[in-house]
Amino acid sequence: MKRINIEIILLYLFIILYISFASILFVDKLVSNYNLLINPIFWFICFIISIYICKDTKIREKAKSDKIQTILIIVLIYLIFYFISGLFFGYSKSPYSHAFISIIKNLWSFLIIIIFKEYTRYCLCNNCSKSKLFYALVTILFILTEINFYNVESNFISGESAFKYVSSVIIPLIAENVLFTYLTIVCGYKAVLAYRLPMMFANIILPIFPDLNWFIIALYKLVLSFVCFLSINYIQAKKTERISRRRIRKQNPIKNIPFIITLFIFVGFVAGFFKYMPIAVMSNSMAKLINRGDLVVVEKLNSKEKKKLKQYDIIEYKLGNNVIIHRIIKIEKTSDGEVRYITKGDNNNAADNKYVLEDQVLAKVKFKVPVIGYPIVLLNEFFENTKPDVEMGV
Amino acid sequence: MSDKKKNYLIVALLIAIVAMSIGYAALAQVLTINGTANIDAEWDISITDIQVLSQVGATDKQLPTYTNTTATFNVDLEYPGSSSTYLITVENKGTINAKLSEITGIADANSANPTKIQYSVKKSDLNDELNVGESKTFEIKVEWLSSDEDKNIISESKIATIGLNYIQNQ
Repeated sequence: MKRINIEIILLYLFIILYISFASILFVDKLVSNYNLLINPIFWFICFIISIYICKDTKIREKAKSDKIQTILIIVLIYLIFYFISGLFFGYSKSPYSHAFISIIKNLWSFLIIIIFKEYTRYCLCNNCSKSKLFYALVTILFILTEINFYNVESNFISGESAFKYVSSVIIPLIAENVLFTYLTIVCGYKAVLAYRLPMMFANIILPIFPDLNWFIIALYKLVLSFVCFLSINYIQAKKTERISRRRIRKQNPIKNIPFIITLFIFVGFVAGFFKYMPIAVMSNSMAKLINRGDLVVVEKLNSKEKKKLKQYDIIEYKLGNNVIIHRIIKIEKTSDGEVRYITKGDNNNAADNKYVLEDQVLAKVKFKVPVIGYPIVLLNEFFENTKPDVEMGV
Repeated sequence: MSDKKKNYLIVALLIAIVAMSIGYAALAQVLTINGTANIDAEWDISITDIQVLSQVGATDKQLPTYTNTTATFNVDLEYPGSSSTYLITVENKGTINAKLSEITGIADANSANPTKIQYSVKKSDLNDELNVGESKTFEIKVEWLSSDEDKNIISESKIATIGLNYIQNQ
């Protein structure tokens, strides 16, 4: 076991102090200089201390170039896949300025920090006791350095925004930092740079980005971290560990492709990218056929299919900001040819007081699965209950 | 796979990315670009609130909804001269200073029928800075412009999605 020296403890303390007081540094003019000045200076000091600590440390990482190349290939494939997905979701323009001076400023703000930060992680990982506890501590520290504490509370003003923030920022951040620490341990800081730098260059230089929602971006990041981990773990097992061929074959990342495809299909189904999608029922208006907490699978309808709707079909339609699932009890045609549906919940005494027009119809209910929609119902209620009130002015 | 083969693969992937970039340049004229992307934690600009400031002869057909940089209004106006005014709050929660580059959706909404209902934005100038930690407010007003032709008055409504596009302040 390596002895923890005083410099390492100082480096830990320095990072902890920075995390603790970073939000205090966001005052007046300093806040505008955080990216250009405060953050780079902090990581530069960490880098210098790390060089001093690691000056006598000699680590031989096995199959290092193989691992770095693998990471680079996975990240490049990911970037191609990521940008192609914009063909389905649309594109948004990059917020970053592409003036020469801005590109230089951004390179300074991002590139330098990534290099300094990852070298510091490398130094901490290689100069601590080789226990999981220390690796976990390093990972947690680096996760905390990437959280913007200055405005973190604004992401917790409602249950919905907190859920979005945790799902789209915190969870991917944890997954990526666990991967970075793992890569640092098994193949050094250059492997992490092979992961982070292409992403950073793409962010700064490319003019457009796929217009993906937070859910898809978080999913992409999680899957990318998972694939990188599996691939490096496989190389590590194959080239450096003395294990049987059968076990090596078992760890082949290609074996996980069906799992990843299944995951994407499941997520696409839940997110409503396909013709059929699940909806959790929030009320008992259709009881006893469809109860609160049941999950119904609906078939999205195009305008041709809407015309084939019949009396007693159960439809999903939009009313204001809400989505309702009720039964068609009558179909009427107005003198100008417009079709309108009179709907009613099976458990309601009277028909709904507003007609449903063809444009409002979204889908037709195909079948139900009892009870399994309850977690969604409860989560939805939590989001509604924690919504900030809409204020009415003068 | 040998190191050499992996190097070939890396070069091939880089060529693919360059080819895609060239393809983008060729297609840039026809691609529809929606607003500004929130691509990382450093860049985090979003609409955080919409309040109703005043309503005269107006009701919300649907409550205003918003995404990061767009706000959608659907207002029912009852008679000429009626109006509804909203206050949108935008916050820079990232670590990069920004400026307003474009407000979208106003012209499209105003040219759509019924043209007598017009949307307008107050308290905004292009290149208005939104520095880190700051928030800005915009007033969106939708009103029924009165004219002599308005004889048979029936309430009218109009939907508008207004986008606030911010870019990095150099």
